[in-house]
Amino acid sequence: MLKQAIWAFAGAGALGLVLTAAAQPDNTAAKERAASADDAPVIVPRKSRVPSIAAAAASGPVKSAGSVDWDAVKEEVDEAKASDAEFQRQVRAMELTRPLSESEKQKMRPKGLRTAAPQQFKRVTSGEVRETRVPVLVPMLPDMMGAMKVAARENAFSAFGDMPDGDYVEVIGTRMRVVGGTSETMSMRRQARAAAMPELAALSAPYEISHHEQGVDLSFSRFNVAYQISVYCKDPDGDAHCSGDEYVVSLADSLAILNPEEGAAP
Amino acid sequence: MRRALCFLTLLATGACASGGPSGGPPGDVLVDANGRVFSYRPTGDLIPGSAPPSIVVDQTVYDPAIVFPTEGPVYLNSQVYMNGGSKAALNGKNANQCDAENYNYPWRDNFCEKRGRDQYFCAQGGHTGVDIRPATCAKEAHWAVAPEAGEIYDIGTYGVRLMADDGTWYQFLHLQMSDLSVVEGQEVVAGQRIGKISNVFFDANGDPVPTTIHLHLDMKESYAPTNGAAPFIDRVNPYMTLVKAYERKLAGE
Repeated sequence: MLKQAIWAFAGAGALGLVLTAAAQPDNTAAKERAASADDAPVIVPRKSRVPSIAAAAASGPVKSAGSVDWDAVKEEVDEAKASDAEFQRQVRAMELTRPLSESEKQKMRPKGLRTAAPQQFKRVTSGEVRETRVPVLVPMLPDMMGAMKVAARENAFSAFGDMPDGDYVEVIGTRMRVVGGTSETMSMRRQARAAAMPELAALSAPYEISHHEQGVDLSFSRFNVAYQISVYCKDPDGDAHCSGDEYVVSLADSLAILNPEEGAAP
Repeated sequence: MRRALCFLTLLATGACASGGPSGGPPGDVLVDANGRVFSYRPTGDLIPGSAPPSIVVDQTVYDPAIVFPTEGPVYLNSQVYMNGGSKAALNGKNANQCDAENYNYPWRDNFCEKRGRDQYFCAQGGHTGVDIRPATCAKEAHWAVAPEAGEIYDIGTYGVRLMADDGTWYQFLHLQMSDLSVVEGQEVVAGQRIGKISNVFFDANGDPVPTTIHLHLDMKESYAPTNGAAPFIDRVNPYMTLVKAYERKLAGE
C-alpha cells in the first residue's frame, strides 16, 4: 500500500502552490519525532519522462517583459516638482518671521519621486544607467550618495552598496515577470496580495515587507515594474535597520529616479 | 517483489538502480555520477521540527531552462536539522556533518526553515533559499556555476550575487571567497564556474565562524498571477526549479 502511494505520488507532477499548515507542529520534540516525515512519500523521477526545455517551457508559467508606464513616471515626477515649488514658496513665507534649519526643512518637505543625476552618486556612472530600459530608482539618503553603485541589464538593474555602518543596501528592479502557473499558485499569490497592504507615501504604491535571516526586504510594484529594496545586517535581530520596518520604508520614501529621460527615448 | 525491494533499498540508501518506478521500464531512473538513483521529497516537506507554523508549498518551476548551479552530484537538505547541524538532536541526528546520510538522496526542501523571522510567505520562517551539499564532504573541492547568463554585479564577504539577463537574481553564499573564478562586474554565461563551495560565514560581530560545507542559493523572481496584475519581486523557493534542472542534468540534456 505504502509503496503504491509512493509511486502514485511520483506520477503526480502537477505544479501548484498552496498555503498549508506544516505537517509537524513545533510544540514538542516528541510529537515531531513521532510525526517523522521519513514516512512521507519519496519521488523517484523517471528518466523517460524528463521533458525537454522546450516542452517544460510550453507547459509552465511564462516569463516576459512588461511595458514600462513612462507616462506614470512623468506624472509622478511632475507632481513632485509642483509640490517642491509650493513647498519652497511656503518656506520663503515662513522664513520672513524666522529662519528654518535644514533638518526642519527636510521634515516638512513633501514626499514624492524626484529626479537625480547619476553624477550625484559618487560611484554611479551614466553609461551603466543608460544600459537599462527600466526606471532606475536609488535612495537619496546621505549615506547612499557615496556608497551606491548601479549595474544594469536591458530588462533589470541593481543599485547596491556597503553602508558606513556595515549594512548592505540593495534596490533591484525589473520589467520582466513570471506570469501564470497553476490555479493554486495564482490563488495563493492573489490572496496574499489582496490583504491590506500599506502604501508608500512617495510613490502611491502598496508594498509588502519580509523579514528573514539576512535582513529585510520591501517589495512594491510601480510603473508596471517590480522593485525590491533589501537591507542586509550582520545582526538582523539586533540591528534596528533590519529588525523593524522604519528604515527600509524611509529608503523607499527617499527614492529618486536616475533616468527619467529614458521615457522620452524613441 | 522487486518494487518492494527497490523501495526498501531506497529508504535505506537513497538508491534503487535495479528497477524503475511502477509502470516504467527497468532502469528508467536518473542515476548520478556516483551511480546513485536521484530521488526527492515533495516541496514543502521539511524535516520534522524545522517548519514554521504555516509555509507556502510552492511547486512553481520559475525557469525551466536554467543550468543546475553546481558541478557533480549534490545533496539538498537542511544544514541546521540534519547531522552536524545545531538542531540535529531534535530528530536523533548526530554531530557529524560528514555523516553519509547527509550525502545521499532523497533531497529535502529547506526553504522557509525556521529562523525566527517573519518572511512574507512563511511567518516565523526565515530561510530565504535552499542549502545544497556538494558531492563529498570536502570544502573547496566542488564548483558552483552560473545558472544563467548575466552579470556578477557584487561580491560580498561570503557571497556572490548574479543578475541574470532575464531579470532573475541569484545569491551564492559560503563560497571560497579567496579564490573565486569571477570578479565584480564580470559577464558570465550559463554553466560558467563562479567559485568553490566552502563553509565561509561570519557572526553578528563580523568575526569568521565556519558553517557546514554547503552552498546556500537564493533566487529572486518577479511574479504576477495574471497578465495585467502588478508584478512583485520575492525570494522564491527554488526547490522545484532545481529539481527540474537536476533531472535534465542527470538525463544528459
